[in-house]
Amino acid sequence: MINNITFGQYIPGNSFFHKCDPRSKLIGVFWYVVLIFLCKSFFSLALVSAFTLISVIFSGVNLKTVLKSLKPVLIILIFTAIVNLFYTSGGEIIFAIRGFKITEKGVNTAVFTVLRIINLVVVSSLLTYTTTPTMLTDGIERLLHPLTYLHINVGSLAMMMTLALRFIPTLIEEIQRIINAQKSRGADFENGGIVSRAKALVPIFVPLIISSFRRAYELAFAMTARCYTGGNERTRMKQMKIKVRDIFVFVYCVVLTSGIIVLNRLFEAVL
Amino acid sequence: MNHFVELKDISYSYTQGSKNRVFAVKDVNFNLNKGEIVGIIGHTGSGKSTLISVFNGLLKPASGSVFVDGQDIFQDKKTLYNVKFKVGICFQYPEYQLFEETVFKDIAFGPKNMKLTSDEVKQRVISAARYCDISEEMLNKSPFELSGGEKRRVAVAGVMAMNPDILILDEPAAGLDPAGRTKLIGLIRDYNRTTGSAVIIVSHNMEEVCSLCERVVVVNKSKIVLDSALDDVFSHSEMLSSIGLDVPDVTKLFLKLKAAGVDLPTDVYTPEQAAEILKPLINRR
Repeated sequence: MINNITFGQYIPGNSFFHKCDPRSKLIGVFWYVVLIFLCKSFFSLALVSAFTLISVIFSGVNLKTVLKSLKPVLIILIFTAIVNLFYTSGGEIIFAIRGFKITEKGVNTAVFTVLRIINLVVVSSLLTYTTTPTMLTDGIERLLHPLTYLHINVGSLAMMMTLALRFIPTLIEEIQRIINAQKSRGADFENGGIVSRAKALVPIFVPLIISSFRRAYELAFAMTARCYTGGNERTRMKQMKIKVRDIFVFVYCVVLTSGIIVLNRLFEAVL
Repeated sequence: MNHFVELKDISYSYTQGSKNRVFAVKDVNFNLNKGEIVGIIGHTGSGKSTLISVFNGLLKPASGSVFVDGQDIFQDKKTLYNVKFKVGICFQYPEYQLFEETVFKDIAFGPKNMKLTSDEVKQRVISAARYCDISEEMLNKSPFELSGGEKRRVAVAGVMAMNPDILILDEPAAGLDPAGRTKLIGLIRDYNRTTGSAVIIVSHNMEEVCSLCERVVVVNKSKIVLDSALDDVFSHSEMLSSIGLDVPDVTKLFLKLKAAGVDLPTDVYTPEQAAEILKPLINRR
């Protein structure tokens, strides 16, 4: 049930993107997301989609896995498509029943928005597919480093993020164990109305929260025992270095940016 | 069909559907009668825990069928739900499943789900508390104020309160101190004797199994490799050690003494038995 989520997972590999510096990937993805929103016409969006596809190939991640990451957002996709389809007015009317009108502009907006979201999800999941959680938080930590001048403890923030990510699978396992135990005592999660179903969650969440606290204490003790004091002065075993391939990521983004600017100028805007 | 529980050719795989399936349980046949007390032993990852989850239908085997009380437990939803009250499972570290405000309420969770009247629920709780040596004063406490051993007993009582015909305990004494361990084992034995329910103990502590069980099932690499009386199982000491299991420490001692030339029997499994045998030898001196 909860084991089939591929979004946000790391997939081990040895591809171009796997070897990239997490910082350049983070900046690249951020840049890319901005670009997706800068697209005004179908032509520029097509260019972005093509670049996304190339990136998927470069990442060496199975196309099937990438598509799987779209599964959780499927409902959002359908919802936005329908809303845009019916509530955008303007342009030629293609189809109309009982006051509901589907206009040309509506269809265009719906397709455009859906493509945008797909691009967004695919690119951001590529980041997590090719970067281990540790690398990711290390990258974020380094990128946020300037904030230390504002007396924000970036090191601790990064450590918190690493720990949060680390405990996701553990908690999933824990939930499964508690569900099994309560089911064995006759807990019923499938029948009944909303109220009784919500009540049925109490025997799961109370033990879960308690054991999370217990884990937090244990972890804190274990960290203290190994002399963790937090702070920004911690050094790293693996130093991050910007290499040629990282420069390539920036060039890639620059090329895409100029492509989009040109196409936006040449063609009429959809939205 | 005269056994209370029958597992027929059960196979289960966690990677259902994929090409290279790895079976956690493969072609297992197992029968159990009421009143029996059986130990399931096996190395970590041998499939013990998966096997017991099949007993009450938490996991649906890929092939094979499970009969409890003459009924195929997967025949419909209702049977699948009700089998949980016939086969009570207490998983590893059950104290982490406690959630109610008081010990009483927590033990009552199972019986309440059985839709019993509040009087019946109360009776069930009190008798389960008695089996697990939980005092009346403790019943009104919050389960989170108790010690580790007490919590464990409360959790076990929570399963016992459903009056299951079969009580399955996965590593019931793991992580307890020796006193708590001995106490719990004693309580389980008494429960089996007074209620006549069958008890299955999953463990890799041989002393525990020896002091409790008459019949022992050895699981290795997803299969049952041995299912026999206690004496018979431990006479296969070489086979046991080849699959990473061990005979009890007392037995080891007797085997060593025998190898050193002392004329002693080797079918000694508990310290009590050992004392019995050694007493005349000491007296002779």
